Parts: sequence; structure tokens; C-alpha cells
Amino acid sequence: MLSASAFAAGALMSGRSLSFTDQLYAAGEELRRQGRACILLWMQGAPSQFETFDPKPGKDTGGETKSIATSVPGIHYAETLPKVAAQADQWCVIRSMTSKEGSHPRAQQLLHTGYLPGGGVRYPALGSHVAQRLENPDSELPGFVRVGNVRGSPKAGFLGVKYDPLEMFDASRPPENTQLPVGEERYVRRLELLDRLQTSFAKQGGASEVEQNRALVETSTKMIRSPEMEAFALSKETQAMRDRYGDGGFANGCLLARRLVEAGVPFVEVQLDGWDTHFDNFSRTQELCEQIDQPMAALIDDLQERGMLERTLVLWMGEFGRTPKINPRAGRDHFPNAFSVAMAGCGVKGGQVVGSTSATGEMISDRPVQVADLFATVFQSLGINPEIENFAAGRPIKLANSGKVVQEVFG
Amino acid sequence: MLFKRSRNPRQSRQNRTTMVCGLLVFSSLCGSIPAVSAADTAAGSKSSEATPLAPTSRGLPSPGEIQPQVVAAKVDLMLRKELGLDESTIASQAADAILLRRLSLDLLGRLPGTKQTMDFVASKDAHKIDQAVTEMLHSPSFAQNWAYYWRDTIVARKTEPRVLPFAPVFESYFITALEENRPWNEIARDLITASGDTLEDGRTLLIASQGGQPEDVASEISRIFTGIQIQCAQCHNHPTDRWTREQFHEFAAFFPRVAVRPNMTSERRSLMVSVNDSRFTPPARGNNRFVGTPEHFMSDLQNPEAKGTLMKPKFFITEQAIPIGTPDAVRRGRMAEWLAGPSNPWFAKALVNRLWSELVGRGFYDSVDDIGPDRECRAPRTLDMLAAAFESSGYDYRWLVQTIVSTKAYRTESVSRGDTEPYAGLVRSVAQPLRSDVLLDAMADVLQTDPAALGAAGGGRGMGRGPAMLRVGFSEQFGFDPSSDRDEVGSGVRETLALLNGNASRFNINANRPPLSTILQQQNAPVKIVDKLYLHTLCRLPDADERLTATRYLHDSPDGIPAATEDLFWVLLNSAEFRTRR
Repeated sequence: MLSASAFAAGALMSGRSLSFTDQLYAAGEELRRQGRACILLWMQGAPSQFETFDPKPGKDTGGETKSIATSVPGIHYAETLPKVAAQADQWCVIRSMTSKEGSHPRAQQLLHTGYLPGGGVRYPALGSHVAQRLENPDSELPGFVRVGNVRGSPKAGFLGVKYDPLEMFDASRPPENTQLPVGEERYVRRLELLDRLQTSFAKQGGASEVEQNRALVETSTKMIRSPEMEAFALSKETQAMRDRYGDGGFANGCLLARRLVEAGVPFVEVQLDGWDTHFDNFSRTQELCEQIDQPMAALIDDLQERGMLERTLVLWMGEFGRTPKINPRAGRDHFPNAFSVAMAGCGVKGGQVVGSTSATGEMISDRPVQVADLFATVFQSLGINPEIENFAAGRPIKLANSGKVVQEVFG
Repeated sequence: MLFKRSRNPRQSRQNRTTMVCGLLVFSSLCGSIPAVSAADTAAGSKSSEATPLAPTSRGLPSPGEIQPQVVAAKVDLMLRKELGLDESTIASQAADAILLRRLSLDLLGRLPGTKQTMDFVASKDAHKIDQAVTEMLHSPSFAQNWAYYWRDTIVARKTEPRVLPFAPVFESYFITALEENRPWNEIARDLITASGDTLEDGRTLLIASQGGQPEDVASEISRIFTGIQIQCAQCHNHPTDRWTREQFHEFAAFFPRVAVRPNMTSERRSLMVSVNDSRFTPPARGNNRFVGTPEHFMSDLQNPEAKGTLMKPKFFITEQAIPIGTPDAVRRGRMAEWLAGPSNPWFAKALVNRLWSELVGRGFYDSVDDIGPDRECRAPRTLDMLAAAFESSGYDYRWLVQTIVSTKAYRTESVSRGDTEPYAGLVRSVAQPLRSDVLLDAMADVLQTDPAALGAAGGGRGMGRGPAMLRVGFSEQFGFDPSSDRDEVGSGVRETLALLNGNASRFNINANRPPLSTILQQQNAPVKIVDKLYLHTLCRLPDADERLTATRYLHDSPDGIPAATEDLFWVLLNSAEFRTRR
């Protein structure tokens, strides 16, 4: 995707010989041709499961939140997500996610990389792994785009800066620093001069530095001058389409995600912050759900209409869940013991719930799912063997931290 | 399955004597463990005083023998002997302007000024290089530069992301320490034995960065101060090294009484590194460990829920131990004495290897934080000699920097990082990418703007108030871990775009603003403009080809000379050379 020359270090390295299970998964070119992609909807702050996908109406722990029927008999979501509920037949909700990590930064790392920080290893984000394996080397677009400004979101780690996300704070405007500072002809003259004036240093102690610089300039310039950059222009969409997604940063992010995936970007993360409702949980969560309900539903419908849903995984999640106990400030606190994630597309069997919590939501009653298991499932969905090992810091690092695929997700 | 250690394909010829050397070193340090004497157990540890040590059976040099230039010459000689190189392979010294820029970036993290460069190049004084070094060693920027370096080193491996706002507090501590010429073993002791609020005491950064978790703190202290990565032995005996799981957890047992908890009031939030010497430990809530425990237990792998084995604190390098029940102050105090002192040669070796690698371009080992008796050393006798001299200096940080930059090896014409010359880094300078702080200051100097503005534009946003935080933010976005293999560090598209097309480019590369306006006012002739711009940006004059190409460009540009000057300025700023310490 990005010009290959100086980035040899980004090569895939597997520490094992091919086993029987490896042969069930495509790799390299064949995998890329499958054209799968993932859109991660990241809910920073940890969304309350009680007020989204696992309501407990009538119980003390459920608070004032009512549930609503969905398009699937027997499945109820919280009343805050009516449009998503109407397409529950597309969604698989895992209600039995569990971890031990209740600290925001560490859990953010855990849910982005599948690993807790430590051990001297810089674990790559899910998006970077997917970019590395699924990106099209001939495309001039980045393999991993992140819309949002949540600080500390993990990047490419040991995979190298090549697989860092292209970060954007505002989906309605082009990515930063992609506007040429001068007219195009003059810019081209600058590039030519840059190339010629580097020759001396290249010959005198700067050969690889100049080579790397040339490659980077070429890649960056190709990208920003590429007609493929049009994928970032929301203005190309009709007003009707924009209205389907709705207004606001998250809505724009979802629409941009569809455009980017359509243009061949294999991983887009759209972030929404604000879910850390230690006080005023109900009104604030309601307000946040209003920001996500319409765009999420529009995204699924849009992907389906374009025939993209069967190869695009949509994943909704946050760092952990929130406490069944409502605190004196009408808030809920951190609760990694039991929380929900939602998935759609790319082989996921919709219209179902995997795992369950007790009547009050105070514990898991069935089928606990570890974060590593979720990662294995996501990789599986994208056609990537979760058992693959990368090699970093002198030892093999499994893609999915030894998690087991949750087969029920695929029906 | 054994994993091959050596990662660097440019490694010098296999030094088969290295394993033997490694064993010799290990047995020599076993042989030299001092008995725990009355002096050691006395409340005030004397070994921290910065007096040069008398020669011991390990052959430490006497104070008179440790003049930096003297030791530097000895290093050059020993290296050539040890590597089997003759005089004919000595590379020429780097050109004056290049050398000045190199020294300025390495010691101060700043570019030299144009006048400074011109004066230096013109000077006929035979000692001008040494004099420049002496001046730089005593500049305030020296302490600032290395504070940034160590901040990056500590923060790069944090497991507790919330320490970032306190990095500037650490920087202040470190600057003061260097200004007071605090010996390296005392700095190590400060960081090992710290407690308190991260907003008030910069010494707490290392422990806070690891969330106060004993295993993580132990790992980091070992990694940073001895260069030995013992944490691979945390879960099982190390696959390739000699360290056992017991040894790891014995080492972690120095730290269980320390913990880190949030310290929030309505006005500010920080972290508190606290000590619990009581026997009472409140039950843990989830993964949170806010209070220390009296002792450390190694978990039972067969039965993870069980308490595990009680570990007696023992230092894996010297095998010195202390009893169960020892209070924290003695625990960590002892640990610091043993680790950061003469009974542990790896302490001196780790810093010597690290600073050599940073300054000359490659170290005695492949890595700066993965050394030890089971790693190949390219020139062990030289390293030992230099480490012993460093120890004799009283672990004087400035002394070590001065000595290294006084070697011929340091002052040679550099080779590219991709060069396969076998002894590059030991007898030859190797180009280094600039650290983010250095790049930020270089750009600010050259563009004649505020580093804070550049930092914000570059991605330091959202890190909170103040220029110091913008810098930390910029480093988080664009910096690299100083301990990482420089061969694998590279900038990405995002950083490139920010430099090519970002605000700095847009607003500050302007013929109507300094520095271009000043240059254009003073010079009319294109060739003079070119010379001035090269001096200003790359701190040297252009060579004949460059001068010709650039001058022609100014002449031929359809946009006129001021616009063409903007183009040339942009080109020099975006060149590989600008971002390289050659």
C-alpha cells in the first residue's frame, strides 16, 4: 500500500512452520483479495451495558432504563437504541465479556491490543495488525485510519510506524497536513530540488537516511496527490445520504468509515468519548446513545445495500462496563466483571445474544468471554489465523494472546 | 526452543571468546563480593560519597589516570588492538562544521549558531574541539538535553499511562541533579528509593511509570541501571539466559511494600508512591493495587489462585540478600547500594555502553538495555577498562560524556546507519536520527519560532497546559524509545506530512518573515543566499555541487528569488540531513 522501498522491516514473521490449521486460512495475496475489512466503533470511557445492550428493567440495578423489543423475538435492548434494535437481526451481542482490568488507560490498551501493557513489548493495536495483513500494497491510502482524539490510543507498536494509524480529529475535513502549502507545480519543483540536493549527503554517510527520507516523501506525496484521497471527502456524498447517517462527529465518522472501506482501507476506527458516567449516568448515556443510534443503524444498512456487509466486520465496544450498583450521584462506576460488545457483518450470525448476565446483572451467568477470545473471534472473522505469532522483544507474540474463537458468534 | 539472540546482521565477526569472557567476568564478580561489613549495615551508607575509589584487585585506575583525554586515548588504542585493526584503517576526522554540529546536538540537543560555526571553522587553535566540549559540558542546555533523554527512556516503557503529566517534574529533578554534578549511582539510588507525590517529587517517575507493581518496577530498574532484562524469567526460567524464575522473584521481593495510587483533590490530580511497612494490607479490588504488601510471593504456576512461595529479597547479580521482614527503607536502600555500586560491574558497564551507543552510534553490545553475561560483547576488555575508569571517577556523568567525545572514534567522519562496515560504532561514528525534543528545538531555532507552537501543531495537543506538556505530547506522538534499536526507528507518514505541509511550513517559511527576510535583506546574490541558508539550516556551507544546483534554482525559478528562497528553505528543512546527527 504505502511504497515498499524502505520498509522491509515490516515483513510478516511467523515463528512456526505451517500446521494443519494454517492451511484453513488464506494468507498474503490471497487473503488480501478477499477484501475484508473492519470498522471499530470505540466507545471511550466504558459504556454502560445496562443502558445499551443488556438492560435490566424492573430491577434495582436496572435503574430508570426501560427495555424495548427488537426485531428479534426474545431479544431486548435498552430503549436508548431504537434504530439499532430495529435491525437486531444483523447484530450479535456478547453480554458475557469479562476482564480484571478496571483502569481506563490499561483497559484501553487491553481492548485495543488484546494484551495488558508490560513485559517490555509494545503491542500493536488491532487496526495495525489488520492493516499489515489486509492492506493492498498498490493502494495509496493508509491501511489504518482512526477518527477521534482519544489520547493514548495504541498504535502500531512493534510492527513499526508504517502501520500507525492515519489519525484524524474531524471526519468532515481532510486529514491534517494533506493540503499542499503551495501550488502544485511549485510543489513539484520543490520535490525535484529536494531530491537533487540530497545526493551529496547520500554519498557521504547518509545513504540509508536519504533513502528512507526519499521513500517517505514519495509515499506521503503520492498519498496526498492521489485521486484515492477523494475517499476522505464527505462532500462527495449526497445530502440524502448524509441525512441517513445524521449529524455530528460520530455520524460523519461512520459515513467516512464506509467510504474508506469502499475505497479499500481495511481498518477504520471511529471513536466517541464521554461514556465514563460516574455521575448522571442516565441522562448522559441517553445523550450519547442519541449520537450513535442513527449512524450505527445507517452504517449497517448502507453496507448491506452496497453488498459490503458480508466482508466488513463492524465491532462496537469500550474498555469495560459499568456497575450494577448506582452510586449516590446517579452514576455507575467501573465494572470489568461483565460487559457487552456488539458485532455485525463478515460472517457474524446476527439476531443473537452470546452469553448472559444474571437477573440483576451483577455477574455472568453463562459463557464468560475473555478479551483474548474476542480478539481470536475478530481475527477469525477477517480470515486471519489467530494462532499466528509475530516475533518481538526476543520472543513469539501470538496475535490473539492465546484466546479461543467464540464459535457461537458465527452460528 | 532456543531463540537466537543476535539480531543485528551487521554484527562484527563472531567473537568466540565472548562467552568465555562473559564467564570470566561473571566469576570475577562472584569472587569480588565484599562481605557485608559493619560499614554497610550502618545507617548512613558511606559508599554513596563521590570519592574516587582506591584500586582494588580488579585493577581500577587511580585518580591521576582518569583524565578524560588520557582515558579516551587509551580506549582508542585498546579498541584497535582488541578488534585486530591496524593504523591504516583509522578514518579521517569529520569536518569542523560537521563536528561542531554533532557535538552541539549530542551534548546540548541544540544546533550551533551561524557565528559560532564560522568562528569555529576559522579558528586555528589546536585545542578548539576540546574547548568547545568543555564549554558545552557546562552549558545549562547540557542538563536539559539529558533530562529529556532520560524522561523518554523511563516513560517509553510505562505501564501506567497517567504518569505523562509528571514527566516535566522528573525533568526538573534531573536537571538539578546534573547541574549539581550528582554521581550516577546517587541518581540511581534516588530513583530506586523514591516515594512521594509525582507532582512534587520527580524522583518518583520510574516507580510511578510501572504503577508501583513490584515485578514491573524490578524489571525496569534492572533494565535501565544494569542493562539486564530479567523479566523474561518472570513466568519461567529464561529460555536463553542463566536467570531463573526464583531469581526474578527474589529481586522483585525488594519492592512489595511500595504501591502507587491516585491522589486526587478538587484542585489537582497526581499519583502517590507510598510505602506500607505495616502488616495490614486491605483486600485488593480487582486489579487495583493501591497499598503495598509486606512480602512478595512467587505465584504457583500449577495453582495460580494460591498465595505462592514467600520470596526472600536477593540480588541476582551479587547474590546479596536481606531477611524477610526488613522495612522498605532498608530493603530498597540496600538494593540501591548493591545494584548501583562497585559490587555490581554491570551498573557501570550499562551506562558506558548506553552512552557510547548514543554518542558514537552503536554500542559494545547489540542493545543498550539487553546486555549481561549471556550477551556477546564486541570489545569486552575495552568496555571493562572504560567502565572501571567511570567507576573511579565516582560515577561522574559529565566525565563519561567528555571521555567518550574525546575519543578518535567519536570524532571520525560518520557512516550511514545502513552501512555494513563491521566496526562502525566502535571505531567509526554512525549517523543517528534526532530525538523528538532535539528535532523540535532544531526546527524552532531554524524557523525562529516558539517550540511550544510547533509542539502543539505537531500533535502535542490535548496533553494539558504548558510548554513542558506540549513537549511530552510531541514526544509521545513523534518520539522514539531511546533504548530501542536505532536501526529500527523510522519516522512515519504522519510525521512526514506534518513537517512537509504542516503549519510550520505554511506560516514560517515566508520571505517576509525571519529568518528569510533577514537573509534576503543582507544578501543580493543568489550564491550568497544559498550559502547563508545552508549555514543557517544545516550548519555548514554547501559543497560545490550543492551550491551550483541551488544557485541555479534561484536564478531559474519562475516565481522569483524570494519565492525560490522559500523553496530552498523548505527543501533543506525536509532533507534527511536536517533530521540526522551526522
